Amino acid sequence: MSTSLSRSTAPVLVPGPVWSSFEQFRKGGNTALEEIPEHGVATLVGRGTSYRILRDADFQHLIGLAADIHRLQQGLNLVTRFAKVVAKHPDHEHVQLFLHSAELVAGSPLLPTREGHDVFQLTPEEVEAQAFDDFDLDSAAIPRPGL
Amino acid sequence: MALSLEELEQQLRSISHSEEAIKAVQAFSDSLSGTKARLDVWNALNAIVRKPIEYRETSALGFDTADDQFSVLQGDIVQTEAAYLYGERIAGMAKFAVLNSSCDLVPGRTAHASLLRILPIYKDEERAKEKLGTLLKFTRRDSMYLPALADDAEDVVGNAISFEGICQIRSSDLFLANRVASLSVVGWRIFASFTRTVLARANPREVELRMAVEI
Repeated sequence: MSTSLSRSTAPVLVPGPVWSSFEQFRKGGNTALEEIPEHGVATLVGRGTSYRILRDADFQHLIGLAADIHRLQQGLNLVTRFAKVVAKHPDHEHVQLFLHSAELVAGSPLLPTREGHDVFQLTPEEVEAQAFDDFDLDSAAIPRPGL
Repeated sequence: MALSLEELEQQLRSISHSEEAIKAVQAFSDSLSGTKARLDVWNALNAIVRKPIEYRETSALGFDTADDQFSVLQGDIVQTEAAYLYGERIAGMAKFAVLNSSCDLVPGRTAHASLLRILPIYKDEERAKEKLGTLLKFTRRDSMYLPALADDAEDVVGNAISFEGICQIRSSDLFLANRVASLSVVGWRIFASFTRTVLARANPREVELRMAVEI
C-alpha cells in the first residue's frame, strides 16, 4: 500500500443512543448495541459515572491519532529545548540551528501514514514449484477456524 | 559443562543456530498430501489459531498469581492503528502478530513492543493459488502461514505473517489493541521456530568465514 501524507482525518464522531441506566441498557441487549451508528458514541449513565461506548474500529482510530500526537509532542519538545539553549547562547550559529529545528517541525505537520500492508510476493522459482499443484482455488471451500 | 571458550562454542554449535525446528514443521506439512489436505489440517480450530486466551479463563484454571496476569500474549493476532514501520503509521485496521515474549508484555515492564505484519491473500489477486500453496508448505523462512480468520474479508483465502520488517508500537497502545486470535500451543511453537530461524540462522559458509578470521 502506498504512503500518503494526507492530513489525518479528524475523528468525526456522532452522538449515539443514550441509556439512562444499566438496567435500560441490559434490557436492550444486543439490539441496543446495534443502534450505535457507524462512528457513533453511545452514552451509558451509571451511578455517578457516565460511560461512552464506541465501535472498536473508531476506538483504534483514536488511539492511532493519539500516538501521532505523542510523536508531534516529541518534535515540539525538541524545539523548546533548542529555544532554551538559544536563550543562553544567543549567537548566530545557535539561532540558525534553532530556526532549522523549528522549520523541521513546522514543515512536517502532516504525518506519514500508510493504509494496510504490502502484498505478499513469490519468487519465480516458488511460482514454478507450484506448477503441478492441481488445487482449484476457484471452486474450493476454504475452511476458517471458528473462533 | 564447557571448560573453555572453544568448548563452549562447540557446545553451542548444534543448538544456537539450529534450523531443526523449522525443518520439522516443513517435514510435517510435506507429509500431508496436497494443498487441500494441508488446508484441512492447518485451518482447523486450535491447529494454528484459537480464540483469544483471556486472563479470566486462565485464572479460573489456577494461573492466578501476580506473575500470571496478562493483557496480550506472544503471537496474538491484533488489530491496531498505532503501529509504525519506518516512521509511517499504519492505518486501515491492519492485522499484526505480537513478536515479544509474553513475559515482556506485562504493563510497566517494557515501553515498546514489536509487531509483525500479517499480509492477507485475496482470492482474486495475482498468483493467489501459488501463494497459498507455497505458504502451506512452510518452505519460506520469512513468512509463516496463517489461516483466513473469522473476521477477514470474505475474499481472503489465507494470511502470511511476515518476519521481514518489524513494526513498533508503544506497549500502552498495544494493550488497547483489538485481539482477534491467540495462537494454539502448536501454532505458538511454530511461530517461535520462525522467530528463532529468522533471528539466528547461519549457513555453513558464514561459520567457515567466522572461524577463518579467528585462526
